[in-house]
Amino acid sequence: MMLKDNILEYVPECPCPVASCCFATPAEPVDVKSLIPDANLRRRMGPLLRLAAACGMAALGNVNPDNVAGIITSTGLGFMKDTVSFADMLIDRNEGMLNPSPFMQSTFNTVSGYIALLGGIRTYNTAYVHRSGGFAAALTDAMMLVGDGNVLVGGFDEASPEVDEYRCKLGCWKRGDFLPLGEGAGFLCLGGVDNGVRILGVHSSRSTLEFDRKVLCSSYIDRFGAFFSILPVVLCSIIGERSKGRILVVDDVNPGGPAVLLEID
Amino acid sequence: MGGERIYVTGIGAVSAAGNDVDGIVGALKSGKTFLRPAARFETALQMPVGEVGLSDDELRALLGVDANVISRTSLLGLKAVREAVSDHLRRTGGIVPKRGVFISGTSVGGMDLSEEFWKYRAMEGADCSCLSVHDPGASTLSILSSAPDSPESEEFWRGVANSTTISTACSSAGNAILLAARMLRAGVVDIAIAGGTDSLCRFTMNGFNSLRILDGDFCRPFDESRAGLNLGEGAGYLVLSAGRADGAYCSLEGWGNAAEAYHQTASTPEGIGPGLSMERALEIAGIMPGDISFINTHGTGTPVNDLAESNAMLRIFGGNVPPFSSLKPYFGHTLGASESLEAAVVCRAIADGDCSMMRSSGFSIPIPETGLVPYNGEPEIAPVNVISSAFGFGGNCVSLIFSKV
Repeated sequence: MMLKDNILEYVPECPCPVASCCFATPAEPVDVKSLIPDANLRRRMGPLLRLAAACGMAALGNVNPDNVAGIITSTGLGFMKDTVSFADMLIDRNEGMLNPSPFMQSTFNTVSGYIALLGGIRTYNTAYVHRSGGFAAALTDAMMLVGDGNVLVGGFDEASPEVDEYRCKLGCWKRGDFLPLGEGAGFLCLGGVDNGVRILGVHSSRSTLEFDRKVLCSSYIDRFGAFFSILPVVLCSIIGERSKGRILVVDDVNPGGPAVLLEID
Repeated sequence: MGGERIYVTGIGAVSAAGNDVDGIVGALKSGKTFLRPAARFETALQMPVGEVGLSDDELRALLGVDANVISRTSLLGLKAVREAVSDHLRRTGGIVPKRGVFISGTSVGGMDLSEEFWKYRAMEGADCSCLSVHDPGASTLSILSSAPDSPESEEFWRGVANSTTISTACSSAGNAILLAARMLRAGVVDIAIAGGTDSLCRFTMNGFNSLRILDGDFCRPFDESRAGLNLGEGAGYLVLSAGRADGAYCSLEGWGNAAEAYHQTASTPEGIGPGLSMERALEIAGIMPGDISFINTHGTGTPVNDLAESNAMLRIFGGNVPPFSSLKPYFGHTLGASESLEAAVVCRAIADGDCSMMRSSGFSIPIPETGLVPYNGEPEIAPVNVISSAFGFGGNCVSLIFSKV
């Protein structure tokens, strides 16, 4: 098959239907209160965890928890604010009397674990943390699993001074002198009946792929900012716009960013 | 392609108990513990930990790494990855991947260097380069870029088309092996290098201490008096091959992952998640609970884990729990590396037909609620099917089944 050999690294046996999707950013949020009704739980969750978990729940929609075959997340830097907060605390307090909350929440699989908790979903659960390429792995994993039921797959990242420092160090996201730092989450629920949106394949690191209809993530920077998980957010946004045809969505914001081939009827 | 049996054709490991698989096996046979207060990194917490005997400089020299910035997590990983690949090449007579994948698990990636950055951040002259390997993905990419160390291994790595990183806390390496198994079974790849690596650092030490689950004494898995875990560091990687039994240690027959959907850091007392991951692994392997000859438990020594895991074993095995033990008292809980480091030991035990080196340590009185007594080295067991598990934060549970070929 042409796609497999020439363009995409992983092509599922059948085009993979997207049942529903959702993205959330601070400027375009989701209704966290209705998606996470437990006020006590909500209070214990940090802002990124609330946003990402609520976004995942919104993408799951009314799917029966028994039909969910997996919850798979990806992130570039995860919970950087909690990580820095715990690291600062242990230095300031010389390793005594530390509040464990930021440590617990800094774990990279916190979002996938919380979505499982919120939805009462005990199936396959995993988390990829491989810069922008983690989403390609997450999507490949999800498409391998979709024969068993619906699979929730998405990505999230947050903005912080440390993230900014990090991207400068890596030379990420430079356009001229400045690129706005962004944050957010995007989740897709794969599988179920085909209602006209499909994923045809994914490539982990070929932002220079040629295709007659390409959408570059960099064209969304003014709206979303730049971050490792921009691709799932842009994918959800394009699906929401329902522009028709085969579209190669390319993460050209991150070095070696992944690409996803989408088909919309 | 696809649907083929999966074989373990190479193993590599490094831990406090030894710098390679032979060293670890020899140390386990001696029955000594390698846990002692931290010496290689700065911490106010004087608790036993399992530190790898080699310093960063010694690892760099040994591995011939001249990268300016490389975390200890990557150095330990690189050590074990190189051992696993050269072991595979030797045992298989030089089989290289047509389409291979490298899947690495880690819980905190390059945190050991990020701490250097944070420590000096308040002052002038914080070294920003330390932060450039903070993320788990960076540790995998560092390993990958230095992996080839001979013409044969260069040819091997040329066949590795892709890499990725999994971070699900203490079950990271388990999920890496599980993904490798699924990709091999689906025919997406023909050879996978999968495992995990983690180095000790102040962040994790203090994180676990703030949760009050570290024991200031040596850990005592499955003992009534157990009071917490001891952290360790290390790495373990397996080379997994689809459909090629030549030179294999054993086969990988089953894998199961489950989310407990209960609490971010604690298990249900009845061990719902651990029970589900073991059940799913048995189902994929297509064997009955009675076919299991040995269980390498997660067995951290915390009151909550060991009770939950015991209850899960009692439920799954209907009261006839096979001989089981925990390797944690020898080299500590190595977090994101634990399931692959311990899997390397399990693979050797299967190939050698001898579980005695996996006898329990620190046990004297059973947990009153369960009455389970871990394996003390007798009788001799030549294992046929072994379950090995790891359970992590977020209720993430993984069980693997390795079998004699």
